[in-house]
Amino acid sequence: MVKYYVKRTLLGSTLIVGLLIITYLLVYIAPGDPAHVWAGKPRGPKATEAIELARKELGLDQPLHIQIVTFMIRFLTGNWGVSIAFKQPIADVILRSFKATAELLLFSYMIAIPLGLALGIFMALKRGSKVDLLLRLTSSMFISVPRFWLALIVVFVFYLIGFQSLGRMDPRFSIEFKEVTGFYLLDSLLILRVDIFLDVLTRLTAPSLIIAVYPVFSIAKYVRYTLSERFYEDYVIEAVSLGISRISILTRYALRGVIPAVVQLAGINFVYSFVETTIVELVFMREGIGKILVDGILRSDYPLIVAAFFTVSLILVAVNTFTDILQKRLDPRVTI
Amino acid sequence: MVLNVKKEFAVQAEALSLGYEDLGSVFWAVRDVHLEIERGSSLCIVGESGSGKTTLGNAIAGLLPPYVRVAGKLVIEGVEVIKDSRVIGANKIRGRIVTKIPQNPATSLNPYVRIEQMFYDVLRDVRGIREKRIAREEISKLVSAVGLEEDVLYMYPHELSGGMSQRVTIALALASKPSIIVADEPTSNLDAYLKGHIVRLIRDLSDKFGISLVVITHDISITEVVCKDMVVMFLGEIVERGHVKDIIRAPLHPYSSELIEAVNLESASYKPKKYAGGCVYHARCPHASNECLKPPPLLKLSDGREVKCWRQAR
Amino acid sequence: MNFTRVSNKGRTTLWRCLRRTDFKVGVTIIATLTIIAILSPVITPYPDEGVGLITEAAKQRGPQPPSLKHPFGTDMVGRDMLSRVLIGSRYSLIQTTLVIFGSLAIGVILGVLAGYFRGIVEAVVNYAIELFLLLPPVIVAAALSVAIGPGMSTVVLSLILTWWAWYARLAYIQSRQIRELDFIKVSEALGFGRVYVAFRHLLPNVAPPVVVQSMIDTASVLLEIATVNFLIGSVSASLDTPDWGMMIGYGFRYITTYWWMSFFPGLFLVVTAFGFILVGDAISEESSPNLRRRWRQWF
Repeated sequence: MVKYYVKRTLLGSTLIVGLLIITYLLVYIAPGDPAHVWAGKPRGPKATEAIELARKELGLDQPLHIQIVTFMIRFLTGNWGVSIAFKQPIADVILRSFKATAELLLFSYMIAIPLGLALGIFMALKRGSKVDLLLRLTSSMFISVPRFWLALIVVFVFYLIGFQSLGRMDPRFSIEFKEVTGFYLLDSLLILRVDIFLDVLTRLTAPSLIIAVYPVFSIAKYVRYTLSERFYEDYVIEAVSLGISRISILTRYALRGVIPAVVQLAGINFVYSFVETTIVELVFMREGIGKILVDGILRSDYPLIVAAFFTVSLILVAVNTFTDILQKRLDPRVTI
Repeated sequence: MVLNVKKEFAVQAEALSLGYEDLGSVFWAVRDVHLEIERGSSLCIVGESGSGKTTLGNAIAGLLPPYVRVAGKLVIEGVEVIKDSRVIGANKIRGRIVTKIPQNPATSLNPYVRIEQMFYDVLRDVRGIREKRIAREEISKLVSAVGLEEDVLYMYPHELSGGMSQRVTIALALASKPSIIVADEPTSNLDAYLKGHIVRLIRDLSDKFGISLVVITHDISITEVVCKDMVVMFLGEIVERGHVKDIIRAPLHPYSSELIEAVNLESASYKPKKYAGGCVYHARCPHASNECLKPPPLLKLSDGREVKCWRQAR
Repeated sequence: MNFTRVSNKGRTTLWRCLRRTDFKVGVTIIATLTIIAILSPVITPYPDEGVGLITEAAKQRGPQPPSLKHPFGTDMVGRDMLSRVLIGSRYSLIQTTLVIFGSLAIGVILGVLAGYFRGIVEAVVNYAIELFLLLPPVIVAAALSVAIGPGMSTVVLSLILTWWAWYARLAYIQSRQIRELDFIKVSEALGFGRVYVAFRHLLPNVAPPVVVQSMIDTASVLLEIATVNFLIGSVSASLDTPDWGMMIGYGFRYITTYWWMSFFPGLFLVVTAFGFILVGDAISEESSPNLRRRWRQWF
């Protein structure tokens, strides 16, 4: 068992190395001078100087493999340089935005997983009925609505009814507000301000629910199918014939076998949701990875985008490794 | 159709048919079965795969799949399970009156919990024993009755051997104190040595607790050990019924003789087809005549012996 | 136990699909859209404005809300939105097709190679699959738009980069099973080259299920493309390409004043995605016996 954890973590680490190489190659494949791109395509009197600096940073006068190693060491030691767009250390910019995105995403998944499970169980019990058909059509409809467009409609409707939903917090609180952890929901409680907490919560709810759409229906669809198939497993039929009550069979027999796979599915969906979150954030004018991307493109801040790319991929490696290990932990039959 | 519900019978089936819906048409797995099993007796249902014996056994255990079509009447311990072509009481008998010993013990135990959990579930949900201490004592008794150490209770199903898990399923079947136990091919996954042990264990325990026993098997060699009576099924119909000893000594139906002579039934090359009318066996019967194109009546002979064959009718 | 009977009435998957209402509705939506895409230069009232030209008439018009003359309104520079949305169907369909075919080609070929040649090829391809599955397409697109500039090729490239790995994994699993079958062994024994066997015998048997899978998740590709286009649209100072995702991304800054600029492209996107999802669900249900089974709760 321990051997599996080590193996899975090692794979995760090699993936990080691979990601760094891809990240570097992204710099390299750009047409023209990589130093020019890395320096943010500068113009003006100081351009040559900036490009020379970038050339030194990337080590472009050395062979490619040395360049990659230098690049990796820089990244792994946290020396990410200064952002062109924000004039701040990239690591700080990323960390701050990342916390904002993480708050939204985690909150969204805290809603999505229980809701998806509940809906899936209900659909499994009703499989083959009219209600099931109706729910499946509804979920197909919800999945076919792009979340950024849904967000747009919600923002528009909120605007029409005069409901404040943009940003992470009402600007009038910004003076009194103190950042402790960077997670506003937590911070507002730490400084004992219920009014700020409620404000943060209301602004968080709409985007969270929109991001939750995909995981909810994807988990529900999966649970509906796998759980209802479980009802015909030998051990469930045996439990029925022994007279064990329906609720026990559902929770301790049928559902118990579905949970490990749901954990893994949630992990895979998380990758997808991360991407959606960046866009939904943009629409709700919240700070986060999405804003970094937009500012990065607008200001040709290539190092910032590369850092964001690397950070997000790193999180996804971590989440996938974690859910894989958790899935194995939950299944007693696995004895690696 | 009037059927007197008699208390001395564990199972009463009257003109019972069981079938599966298949896009409009119905495949009848069991046709027009009349069967009475006395309380405390033991009956083997013998036949090859496709004979409908498992479907009949499942119906007795209250396991009626969705899209099942039923006709006739089935009464288990005075509880009407099937009446007027409808399933009305399957959930009343499952666990409380009938339990089942499964064919594949290894896959029939919940792989995600320790063995003891299943016992607790049965004791709580069927017998209402909520107190852990009482339940624990009860479980100890059950486990030792089937000849297992208490260690197994803390194991997961995948850690048990085939023989151990079959013993666990037997203990589980006894846990709810049923009046009837249906054993579905209890030995099909065991080697010859274990087979004898398990079969004797099932017989002795049902004798000890006064439980009526229904054993479904294709293996005629175990019938002598475990049962007093036997029915032989072919293509959904009962073709012969009687004491095990009588049938094995002098089978009246040609299919019964074939069964007794056959070394291994599963290798029989003939696959049962859809019932086409007449005697179910006539396509395969060495003695078939024109008479067999009409369905033969069920002939009642002395000492509870019944047979469905034109040769005996003559 | 006869607990689970699967009916096999109705011959092939396609035949069974054709009898389903949801499949018919989905196919109708996709077919209508394809016809619109083909005929769009002819049937739209302002085809020039549709493809992005800022005509004199448009300049004078300016942004206008939906009216009889312009049912979907006009955009920032006065171009007719109806024309732009209808012509936009071409862009969506072409991008989706390119991404799916590109990913299928790369994925199936690499998957077959990995499944057939063991050892180092298998290890490298599997590692690449794990790696590329992790890449977030929107961020790859952001990096590419800085590196090579924003545009349709950036979108298609970033999507293929992240999508091929799904098909490769599927093709790999398939070919690992098929390579054990007799006919592959016979071809090898007959002295055919390994590469010949892999592409001549393995590939034709691996490809169909992967292609079916690609039909099932066309809607996801369409929506993912739209998401990436949204990002590009939202950073564009001006927008000529009539892509739905880009138009929504471009229009979202003006949602409170010119809502029609992002509403109507979104509506078309939703209906198209719904059509693909209906078809995909029908195919996935009809091609898997377990999903096809009639069902009723039994205990």
